[in-house]
Amino acid sequence: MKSSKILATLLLASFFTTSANALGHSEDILQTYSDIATANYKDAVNDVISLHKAITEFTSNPTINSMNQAKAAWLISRESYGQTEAFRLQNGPIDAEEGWHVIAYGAPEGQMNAWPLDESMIDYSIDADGNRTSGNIIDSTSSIFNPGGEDPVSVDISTITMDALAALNENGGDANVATGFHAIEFLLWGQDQDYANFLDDNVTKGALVAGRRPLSDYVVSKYADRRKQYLNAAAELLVSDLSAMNLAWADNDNSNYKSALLGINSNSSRNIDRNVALSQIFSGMGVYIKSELANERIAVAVLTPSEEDEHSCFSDNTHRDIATNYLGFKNLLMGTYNGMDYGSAPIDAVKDKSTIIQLMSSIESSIASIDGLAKTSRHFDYQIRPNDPQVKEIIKLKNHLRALGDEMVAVAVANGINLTVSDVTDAEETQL
Amino acid sequence: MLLTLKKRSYKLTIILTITLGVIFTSRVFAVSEITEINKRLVKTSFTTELPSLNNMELDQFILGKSFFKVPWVASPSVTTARDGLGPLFNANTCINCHKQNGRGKVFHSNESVSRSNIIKLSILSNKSPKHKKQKRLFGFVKEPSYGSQININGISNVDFEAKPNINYTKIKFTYPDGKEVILSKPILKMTQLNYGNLHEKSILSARIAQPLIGLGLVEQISDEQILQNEDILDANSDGISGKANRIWSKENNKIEIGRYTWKASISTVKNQVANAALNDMGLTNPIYKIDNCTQIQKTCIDAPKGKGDFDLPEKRLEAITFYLTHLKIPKRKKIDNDDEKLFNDVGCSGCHKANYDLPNNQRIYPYSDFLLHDMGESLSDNRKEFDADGKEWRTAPLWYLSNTSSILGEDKNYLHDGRAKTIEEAILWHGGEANISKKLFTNLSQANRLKVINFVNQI
Repeated sequence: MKSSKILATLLLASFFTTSANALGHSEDILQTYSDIATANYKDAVNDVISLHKAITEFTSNPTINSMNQAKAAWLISRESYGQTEAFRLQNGPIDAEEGWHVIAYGAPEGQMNAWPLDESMIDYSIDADGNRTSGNIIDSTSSIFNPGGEDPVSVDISTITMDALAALNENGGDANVATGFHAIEFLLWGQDQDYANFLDDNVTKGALVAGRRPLSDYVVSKYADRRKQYLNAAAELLVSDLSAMNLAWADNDNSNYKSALLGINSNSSRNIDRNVALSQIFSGMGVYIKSELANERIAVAVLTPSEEDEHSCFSDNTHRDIATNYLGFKNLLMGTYNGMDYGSAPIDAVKDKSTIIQLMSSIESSIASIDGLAKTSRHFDYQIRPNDPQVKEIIKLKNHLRALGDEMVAVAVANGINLTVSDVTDAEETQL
Repeated sequence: MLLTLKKRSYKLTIILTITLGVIFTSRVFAVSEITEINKRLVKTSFTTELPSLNNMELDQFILGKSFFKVPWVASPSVTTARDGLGPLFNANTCINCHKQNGRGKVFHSNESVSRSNIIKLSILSNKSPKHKKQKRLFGFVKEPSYGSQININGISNVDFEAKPNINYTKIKFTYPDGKEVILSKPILKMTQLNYGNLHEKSILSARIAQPLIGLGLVEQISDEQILQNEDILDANSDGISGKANRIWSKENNKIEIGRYTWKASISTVKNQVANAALNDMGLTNPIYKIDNCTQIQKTCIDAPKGKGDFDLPEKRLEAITFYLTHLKIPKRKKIDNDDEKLFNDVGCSGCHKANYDLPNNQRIYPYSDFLLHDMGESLSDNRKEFDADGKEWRTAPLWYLSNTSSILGEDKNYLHDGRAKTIEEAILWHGGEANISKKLFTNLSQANRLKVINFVNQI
């Protein structure tokens, strides 16, 4: 199923990425970059449209089969979305803090991919004492829900709608995540957790076992309809958010973000100076691969060590998050996407590529090892257990990702942009 | 972590943009881009690691940073690594009060008192052996029903302690040249007291969270370097005494020289992290082992406890300490020599001592002597902490004051309770030992006063 999907995406990509460069092969690195964004977001939005459809089918006729179809659609949607994450931290439409593009496109990153989330706010879970929690959005006895935390605002949840979920997301603080991929993930898979610092995997036992939400939650449960409402609303919001990204990066629109980045927006005040654009991109890529992927997503999980710090902890899909997040970075560095060459790329100007190539080769071998083990032997949450031999491999991966992030300084310089190591270090993603 | 961007109502705007075309025509994008980059520099200036860290040190830094930022939850929870919040607490993350590692503020956006403005609590000593013991060990006597500070939150089933309310009386200050400044003196009241009335001899003191910059460097200043500026009896008759706070270290079980907190009541970063973990977040740890419930707070005492020995075990306490002591300080700004001369001539540098040479030959510029000074009746909070009496305060380090106020945006606040909205107001609140300097300052021409203020912004 996956391979036919990739083939289809390849065909789509080659069919649609025509834009300013009729041959689909640009000689300008900014053009290449933005063409990859166009293609990647188009795939991502198509994949969440498929996810939405699968969820609609599941909720209208909940069976083991339709539930599995919805899970499969979620996993597929993570493949394209995971790669788009490389566009973060660059003052672009996905997560800029201010500017016309924030107002126009909503900077929906936090609404789409916020984690870690407090699952007990969304639905029941089993707490450390083995008790089932209650008092969440789904089982709320009141039509008004207060998420708690810092200055929370109550929201009407008599019907769980897209707007209600958007109003609840990060309302009262960071952990109060109500929307996005990981809320959907929890509603499809349920909890996968241990409470004994990895000594006893006592909620969903087994190295290859993810969350195991019973189908009955959607059939005989008193709250089955509420869960269906929640899933549908969350999927609908995800489609809406990614559609906004798709508009921002669409071809043949001289009023959108892509045209502003390329300096051809009909409103010249929106056009971004080329050097500013490149320096934001290079420093953002460095921060992304170093502070976000290596540090926040891998180092914290393996050092704490804790399942709650792995990215996709309900579905145990973290090995794919790591692989696709890295791939997204590689796409931009090499000017490729889905096996296609999109034209001139930042790497081209680097005279001595040996350090970067060596790092990438080591990183790819570590990622392949984590990915392989996750599919055959033990999921990422077992690979980070303190005595697991794989911990060494994960630590090597994190260190090499950091080093690759630092190499973005050299890549920038080779492309005529002056950056220092501090520019590619820790943009402090958390704005509290 | 990740992604916590403010959501804006954008769906309507998208529709408008599509149907009406361009709306925002007045923005010059290049300028806003530069502002973006500057904002990012401010944002990252206090949260980045020292460039010299190796991979293992960086791991420790990242781990500490993660525990500094990620929310803690009440026990029993569906997580384990960050289980054990409360039962009584002010905030559920460190970063809640130390936004971007900068200073706290008086009010939250909705006019309610910010959680980063902590209300410290004590009572007058009755000189009994019990009170004397508390003074020796804690530096003050705890309020019997509420303890050493007001916790504005409780986990479910545990009532919060109280909520503060702050109003101001306006005081007009007139310079010799006729220019007027309105100062605001706070009046602090507690409301919704859930555990009965406060003790009749209660002393309340509001304290905003300290900026966390340069903590590791301040720790490297030797006790001798601090003590050589002591002049307890004002032997040189310059009107400035200066006294180190000799405090009881709960970490090392001995008397040490305090150098952190508004009254220099803590001697090491680790001890302060542990203290804040317990008092502000309700996290027990190897230094503060017991939850801060008073005897009458039965639901607090009976609340479920975390799984391990401590909510914040030694390794994680060490990691947070490592994070806070290995932050890179921003580059020094270019100093205007004329402005600095005025700052010195007026006498500010009598307490705001410019620099120290550290054992590794690094010269740092905190602009503080880390000593206690009598700041006059109008700044007094009547609260004693070890050798500091009500009127005595630690000389606030002035370095990166402009960075910490940039983090706050429009709502700037200075001094222990944030009563000063500007650096000028903060200067005008100085009294006691600072009276001579303040007089010299107020006698300056307006242009020269601005130069002194400008210098403080360069530090």
